[in-house]
Amino acid sequence: MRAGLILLCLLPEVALAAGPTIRGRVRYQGPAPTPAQVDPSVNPDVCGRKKPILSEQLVVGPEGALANVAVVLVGITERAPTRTPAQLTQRNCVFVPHIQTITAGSTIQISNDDPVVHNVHARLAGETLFNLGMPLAGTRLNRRLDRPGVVELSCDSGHVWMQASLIVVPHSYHATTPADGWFVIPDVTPGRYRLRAWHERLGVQEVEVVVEPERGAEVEIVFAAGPLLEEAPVLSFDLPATAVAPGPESEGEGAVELHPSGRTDRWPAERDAARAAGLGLYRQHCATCHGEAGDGAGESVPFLHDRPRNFTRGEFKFRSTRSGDLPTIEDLVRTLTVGIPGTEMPSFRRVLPPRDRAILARYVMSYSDRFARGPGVSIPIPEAPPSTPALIAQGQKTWVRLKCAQCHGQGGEADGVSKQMVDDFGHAITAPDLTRGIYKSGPEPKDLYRTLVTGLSGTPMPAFAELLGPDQLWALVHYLRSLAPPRPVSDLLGLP
Amino acid sequence: MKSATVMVWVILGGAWASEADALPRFSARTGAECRLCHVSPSGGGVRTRYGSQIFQRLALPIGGGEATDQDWAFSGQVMDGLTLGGDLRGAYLYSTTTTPEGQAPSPGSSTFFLMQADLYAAAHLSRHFSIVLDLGVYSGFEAYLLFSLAPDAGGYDLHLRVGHFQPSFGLRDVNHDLYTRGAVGFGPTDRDTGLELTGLFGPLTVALSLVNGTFNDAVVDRNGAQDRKFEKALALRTNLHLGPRWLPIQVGASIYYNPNVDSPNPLFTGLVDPNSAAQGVDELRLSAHALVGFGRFTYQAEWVFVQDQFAVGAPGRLRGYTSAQELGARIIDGLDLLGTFEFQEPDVSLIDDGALRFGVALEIFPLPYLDLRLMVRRALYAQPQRGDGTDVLCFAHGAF
Repeated sequence: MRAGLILLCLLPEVALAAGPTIRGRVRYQGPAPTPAQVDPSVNPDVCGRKKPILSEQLVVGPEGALANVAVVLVGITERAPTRTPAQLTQRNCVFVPHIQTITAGSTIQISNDDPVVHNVHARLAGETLFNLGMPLAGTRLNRRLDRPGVVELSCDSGHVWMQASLIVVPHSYHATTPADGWFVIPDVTPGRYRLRAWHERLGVQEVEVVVEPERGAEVEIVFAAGPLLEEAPVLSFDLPATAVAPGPESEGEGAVELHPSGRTDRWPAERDAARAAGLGLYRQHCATCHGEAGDGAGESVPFLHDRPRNFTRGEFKFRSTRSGDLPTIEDLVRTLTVGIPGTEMPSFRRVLPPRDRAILARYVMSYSDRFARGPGVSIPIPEAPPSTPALIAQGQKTWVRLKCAQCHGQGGEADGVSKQMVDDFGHAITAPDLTRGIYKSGPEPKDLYRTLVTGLSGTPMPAFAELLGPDQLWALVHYLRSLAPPRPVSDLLGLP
Repeated sequence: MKSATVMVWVILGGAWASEADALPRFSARTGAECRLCHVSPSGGGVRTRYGSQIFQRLALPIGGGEATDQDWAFSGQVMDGLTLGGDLRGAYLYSTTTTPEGQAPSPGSSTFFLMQADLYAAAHLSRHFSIVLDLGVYSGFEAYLLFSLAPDAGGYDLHLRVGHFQPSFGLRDVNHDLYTRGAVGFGPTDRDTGLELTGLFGPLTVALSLVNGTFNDAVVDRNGAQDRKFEKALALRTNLHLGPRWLPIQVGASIYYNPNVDSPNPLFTGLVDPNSAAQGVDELRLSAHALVGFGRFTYQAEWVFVQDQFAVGAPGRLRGYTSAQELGARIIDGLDLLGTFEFQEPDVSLIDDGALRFGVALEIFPLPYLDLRLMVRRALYAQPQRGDGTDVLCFAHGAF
């Protein structure tokens, strides 16, 4: 801790004041490639109809002007960064803009201008920050982004070409190059700095700049032509862990709890205590499938139908918390108690008393340091109204309006675009067949309600907490349950 | 009196062999490989953590109430890398026999007996190397080294067994023995020495064994010792998983060839000239098997064709076949209704000297690690001197 503070003091602190600017241009050295045209396989009546969808992975203009480059100062801190609102639009089945930088703690407004279902799935270092269902044109949702890093965005609704990045910067000295390749970083305190340029397929470049009191600085950054990276590179801001801007959490309407990555002082001790208490139980009851290391690679995995959860990622489908948040201990205990219907995850209700299930839940948490931020907060579930034909009919309207069939199929038989989807672990995943009446999150109506409100982390299923009120959600729950008709013959035969 | 005693032992032997284990039913139900629940790549014997801790405790028993303490916290894993296991079956058998015409009526018999008592141990010395032991009071012993190779990205598993074990053949394996299995030569006491390579390639499992060809727990190969021939038995077993998840199907075929042995197949007992057998028999066995799961129903079947070719003397060549089938219905979780059918025919003639046995059983799993079975079975023998019989069999089976 003391070392961290010393490092923090040594870093140059940049004050926000009207001052010189860093002005520069990013160029691409090599022949300008012709952007590939995307052939939209889903919703072709909307996607690319007004104008062709072109790949934005490498956009080179006249004189080698390189667009979509994030330019940031590194190795600096800022006492009170200016938080500026940002916008992200889904239009013509493309994220606009493709790349943008944003100051940590700022709020971004995400909108959908298309009359098709989109969902914005945001991941930071592979970890889901949020996954928001946006099935309606005109939908607008706000999310605050606190944790610095490259946030990758995708749409899981079959629009596999929809990719974009938000670069969340821990200070306000950043810019993104437009089509002409020029950028400006204003109001920089004179001094010597390191400037880092990030491109999603060309990598990272760093130059040193000296900002003069009057003249500021001018720089040119050149990316040489070469093989394109398959994955976006990491962008480091060269900050010690203690220097990450914490920022208040959960502020205001629509804010989401995105805690800083700095671990609490208590976490290592809590984690070690949880491990000591639960190791024996875990080895006995869980390790054969989930692995001694909690990575979902136990000895039984080759012979199982269902892939066990990898706990080290801290991604859990069945939560009572908001999209992107961690589950509560009660959520994990519930999964241990109920099991996961339709899979090989059994119920431990009969063999483990509640106390042991809680010990196991805490042990599972110990595998991911995401829990250093503590578990999330449960969203309350109101009392369920009785199912009536009118409510089911209302739910069906919501089903149609939200275009649920795009993934789940018209009759909920999983014959939508879900066959093209993958989960956060890169595995193919399909939407469940809702006509079977087997729900992994649990058999009760409130279990379905919870899934609709929270989404299923690690999967394409988004959260609809902000789009639907309780009445609409319950109506939709009852409609979903109506899709699974009574199956006296199937139940008699014991068919899944 | 002497004939009555023999009859009791014949019945007991049949009862023991037929009831030893029924776990292929669970493989049929789940569509899973034997390897999921057993350390041995071909099933049977010591169980994996999944088999013991998950399947036996959580999937089998009748539903119960909320756990209040660690009632079922037992684990056979006594320390890191060392697992113990066991199977114990205590039974009661009431048997009546229809005496052949001209003989005094049989009073029937009633007895308690121990069907099975096996103690297992597996020492996992490393991720790739284990030592596996099975000490059976009635079922002989197994002891082998198991080398396992399962590349993370390979999509296949390879397992090599070296030691004393029962070669993989047909539907059932060690301790999964039926009345008919003993007749084929793969009964509970039939273990052999050699090596076996098993490969799991996605839905396909292939096991190839090279063994002495001396069953009945013989330690060394004396076959052909007089002329120093390298005459070993070869067994090949395949198993293929098919069907959707709601209809898991497994089908497979096996072949066993054992040249120049001096012990003819038990199926042909009474039909063989001892002098002919002593001068060499080439054993051939072909098998087909199937496992099907459909909701609460399971079906398992095995058909084995047996041929002994004698080097000299009558009868020259003997042929026969056996079939064992079971239809299971899970009434509720933890309560199964079973129908069994076993048939053996020592000379491929359907009508003269075959033996047929069929039964109905109710099996309940009241607690983890415990199952109880009540069975009524009828045996029909074509040979009039044996007489038909009816058995009522109850057993308690503890396993971990």
